[in-house]
Amino acid sequence: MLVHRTELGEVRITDEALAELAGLACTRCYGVVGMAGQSLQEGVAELLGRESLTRGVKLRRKGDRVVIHLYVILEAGVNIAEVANNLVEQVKYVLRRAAGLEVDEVQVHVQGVRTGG
Amino acid sequence: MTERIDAKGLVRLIHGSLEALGRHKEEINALNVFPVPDGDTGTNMYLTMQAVVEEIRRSGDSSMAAVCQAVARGSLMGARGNSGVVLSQVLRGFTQVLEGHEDAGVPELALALRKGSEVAYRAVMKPVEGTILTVVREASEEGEEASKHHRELEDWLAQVARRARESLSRTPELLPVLREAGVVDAGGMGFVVILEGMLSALSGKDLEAVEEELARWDTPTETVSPSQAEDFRYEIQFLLRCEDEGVEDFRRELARIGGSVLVVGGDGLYRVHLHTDRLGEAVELASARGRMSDVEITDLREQVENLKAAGDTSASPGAMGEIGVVVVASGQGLREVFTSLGAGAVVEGGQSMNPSTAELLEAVESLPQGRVVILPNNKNIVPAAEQVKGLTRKEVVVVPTRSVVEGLAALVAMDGKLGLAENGERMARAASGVKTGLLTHAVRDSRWSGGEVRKGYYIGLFREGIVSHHEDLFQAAVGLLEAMMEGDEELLTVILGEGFPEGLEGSLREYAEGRGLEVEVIRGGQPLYPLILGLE
Repeated sequence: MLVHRTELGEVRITDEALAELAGLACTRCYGVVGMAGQSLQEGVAELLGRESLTRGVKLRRKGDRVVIHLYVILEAGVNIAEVANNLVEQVKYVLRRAAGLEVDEVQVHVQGVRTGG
Repeated sequence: MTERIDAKGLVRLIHGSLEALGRHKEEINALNVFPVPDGDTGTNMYLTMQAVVEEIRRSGDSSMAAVCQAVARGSLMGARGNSGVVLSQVLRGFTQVLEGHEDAGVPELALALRKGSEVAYRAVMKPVEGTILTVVREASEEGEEASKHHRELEDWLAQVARRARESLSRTPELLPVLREAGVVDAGGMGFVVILEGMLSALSGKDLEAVEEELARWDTPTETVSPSQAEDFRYEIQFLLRCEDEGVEDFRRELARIGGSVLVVGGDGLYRVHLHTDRLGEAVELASARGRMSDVEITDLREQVENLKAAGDTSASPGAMGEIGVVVVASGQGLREVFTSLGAGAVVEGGQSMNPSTAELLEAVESLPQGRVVILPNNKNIVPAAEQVKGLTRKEVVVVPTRSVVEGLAALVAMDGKLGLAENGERMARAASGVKTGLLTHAVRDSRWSGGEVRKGYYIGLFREGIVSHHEDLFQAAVGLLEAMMEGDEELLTVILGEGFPEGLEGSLREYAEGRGLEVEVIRGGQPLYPLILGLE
C-alpha cells in the first residue's frame, strides 16, 4: 500500500494497482511479447483464458524498499539486455509518473523467447 | 538514375543514413517525450546505426548475403534504447528479404521494407500508434503502392520518404503525449531522417537539397523540421531546471518572442528549444524560471538565406505551416509581434480606420497557403472579414477577435498540426479567455454613470463602458486594471502605444506584480490607445 498524504486527506494505492501499472508498462514495452505467470493460480487463469494485467508481475517490499520482479517473454532476435534495460526504465518512469512511487529495484526475469513467424 | 543496387550500393545507403542521423541527432533528442522523456532518441538511433556500419566494415565481405547479415547482427548487438531496438527489428526484416538476392530493384526493396515493418510490429504486445512503428508501416505501405508506378529507385524512395514525413506530421494526432508537448515523435523523425539520408546517398545530392525538395512536396506541419523556413535569426537550446508549475507560462512567454517552441521533460528538468531574434530576452526569461545549462546557440540566417534563394520570395509563409494567418493591427511594434508569432500578413487598421474587404482579400490571396485564418481584432472589422469567404477560392475562417489582445491570445493558441476548423474553435476559445481593457483620451467633456469626464482626461474602457478616468495616466490605468480584475487572473499583457510616457512602464509593472500578476510588456506603438491591457 502506497499512501500519499495531502491537505485534503490521504490517497492510498494498493500494491495490486501498482503491479497493474507495471504490467501495463510491460505490454507497451518494445521487445516484450508476453508475460509468464508464476503461480498455480495464474496458470489456471491463463488456461481459462482470463487476461490479468498483473500476470508476471511481483511487487515485494523489503522494509522501505520496493522491488518489482517482472517475468517476461521476449521476441527472438531482439537485444535482450537492451530490452531489459528499456523495460526497467519504462516501468520506473510509469510508476513515478502515475503513482508517485520511487521503485528501488526492478528485476527482469526473461522466462522465454518467442520464435517462429 | 539507378534501377538496381548491389551490396556496395546498399552499404552506401546505410552510410548516407548514418551521416543524416549524425547531423540531426540533437534535433531528434529534443523531441523525445515518449515512452520516457530522457532526450536520447537521436543519439540512440545514431549509435545503433553506427554499430551497423562498424559491423559491415569488420566483416570485410562484400557479398549481399554477408552485408545483410552484418546489418542484422550489428543492429542487434548495437541496439540502444527503444527506438534502437525497433530499428534493429526493421533492419532484420529488411535484410531477410534482401539477403537472398545479389542485387535489388524497386520490387525487392518494397518487399524488404514491408517485411521490416511486419517484423517490427511482431515484437510488442500492444503496439503504440503515433510512434516510429506507425511511420515505418505507412512508409512501407507507400513503398508497395509506389512500386507499381516506379522503376527508378530514386523516384520510388522519394515517394516513400515523402509519405514517411507526412505520417510523422500526424503522429501527434495519434499519441496524446506528443500533442500535449507540441512535438512529433522522435523515433519517427529518426526514421524519416534515415530515409532522407539514403535518398541523398542514392541521388548523389547533398542532404539539404534532398530535404528541401521533399519539404516542397509535403505539407510542412511539423513544429520542428530540418528545413522549415522561418524568419528568426537564432536557434537556442538548453536544459532548464525549474519548478514544474511555471512551465506552461514559460512556454507561452517563449512563444511571444519566437517560434518553434519546444519545452519538454518533467520532474523539474526540461529541454528547451526556441527560434528567436531576441536571444537576450530568452535567456532572461529562462534564468528567471530556474537554472540553465548546456546552452547552445546557432545562427539560422544562413539557412534562411538559402531558402529565400530557392525561390521563396512572396509573402512570408509565417511559422504556422499550411495554415496562413491574416491579422489586422496598427503600430510597428504590434505588426512585428504578430509577424513573429506566425502571421503571414498584417493589414493596417483598427479603431476608426477599418480596412476594407478588398484589402483583407488581397492579404489572404498574397499568402502561399490555401487555408487562411483572419483575426480582425475589432468587432467592426468582423463583417468585412466574413465577406472575404465568399470572394476567394481559399478556405477561410474568421476568428472574431475584438481586440489585439484577443488576437494575440488566439494566435498563440494556434497549432499548425491541427485542421482549419479545429484551429478556428481553439483560437476563438483562447480569445474569449482573455479580457481586454483600453486606455485612451476623452475627446470632449461628457457625462457617464460614474460622473463627469473632462476633455483631455484619460479614460479606461472595459466591456464597452468607462470604468476609470483621471487626468493622470497611471491613475487611470490602475483604475482600469482594478475594474478588470476578478481575482483569479494570472497574466497581464501590457501593450504600450503612442503617447505612453517613458518611465511609467516600471511603476505599472510594479503595481501589477504587487497584485499577484505576471506581467508581459509589448511595445506595440499603436495610435489612439497609449495602453492596452490583456488579462487572463
